[in-house]
Amino acid sequence: MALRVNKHDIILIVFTVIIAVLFMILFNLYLYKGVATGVEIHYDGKLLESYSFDKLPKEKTLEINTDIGYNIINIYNNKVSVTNSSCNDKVCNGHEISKPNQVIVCLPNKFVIKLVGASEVDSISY
Amino acid sequence: MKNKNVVLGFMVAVAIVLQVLESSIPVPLPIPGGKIGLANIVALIVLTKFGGKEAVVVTLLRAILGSLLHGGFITMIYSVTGGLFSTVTAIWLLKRSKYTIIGIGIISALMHNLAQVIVAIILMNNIYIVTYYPVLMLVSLPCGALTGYVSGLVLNKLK
Repeated sequence: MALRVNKHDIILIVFTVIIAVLFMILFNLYLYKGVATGVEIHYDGKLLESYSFDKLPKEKTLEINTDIGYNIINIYNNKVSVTNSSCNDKVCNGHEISKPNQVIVCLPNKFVIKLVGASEVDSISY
Repeated sequence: MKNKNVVLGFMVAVAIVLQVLESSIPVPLPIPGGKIGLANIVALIVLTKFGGKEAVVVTLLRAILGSLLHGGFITMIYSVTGGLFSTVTAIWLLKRSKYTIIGIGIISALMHNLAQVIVAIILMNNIYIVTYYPVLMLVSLPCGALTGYVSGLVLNKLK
């Protein structure tokens, strides 16, 4: 077996990169628009808690406990990250989000942390 | 092969060790959810050496036992669906595509991640999880290529 990429592999790689980058640009342009104003914590498909940034101090640590385990969430300067969790793989730890509609997903603990932003409709009606 | 079951059992053991090792040692990938998918090396080797049925059985046993050892029930759901999806794709690709083992490794990784993202969207009822996928696609390229390449190296030695 020759361990060298062939023409088909190269096309696959180029195609994958193009699709991925295209979607990343689209998400950044249309989904992550505006400024994050609060954070929603979902557990098992349901909204558990939600916080508005203007009602929180500049730095805040939240501990979310459920039947499955715990997640420690750090909010600093309107940026949110998970600093510790009870699961084994801890892949969600350390990743920081700051824009509306961005999410941090913790698969083993069934957690989704999502940032919300002021939509244009809201700012007009206020 | 006379002692096929012995070899397959050994393969399951190796795959479990790789899976547990991978989730115990932090992999320096700068993105959430990033894993190399070392256990897929074993699936690709078994698939090429023995066949599709054997690869599915080894993948299933690896995913179930590996999650029991390190993880839990929810990890098992993701592990089983991801593993099955990628192994079935690899079976099909090996039969009727012109990709090398490196390309097959990449597509396996892409399918593994796709399956897990879909399961996560369904289980957690949150469509925004799909925003992880483009990043995971880019991670699949080096990780899938690596697993494919290593499988190829081992297969060449086995001949």
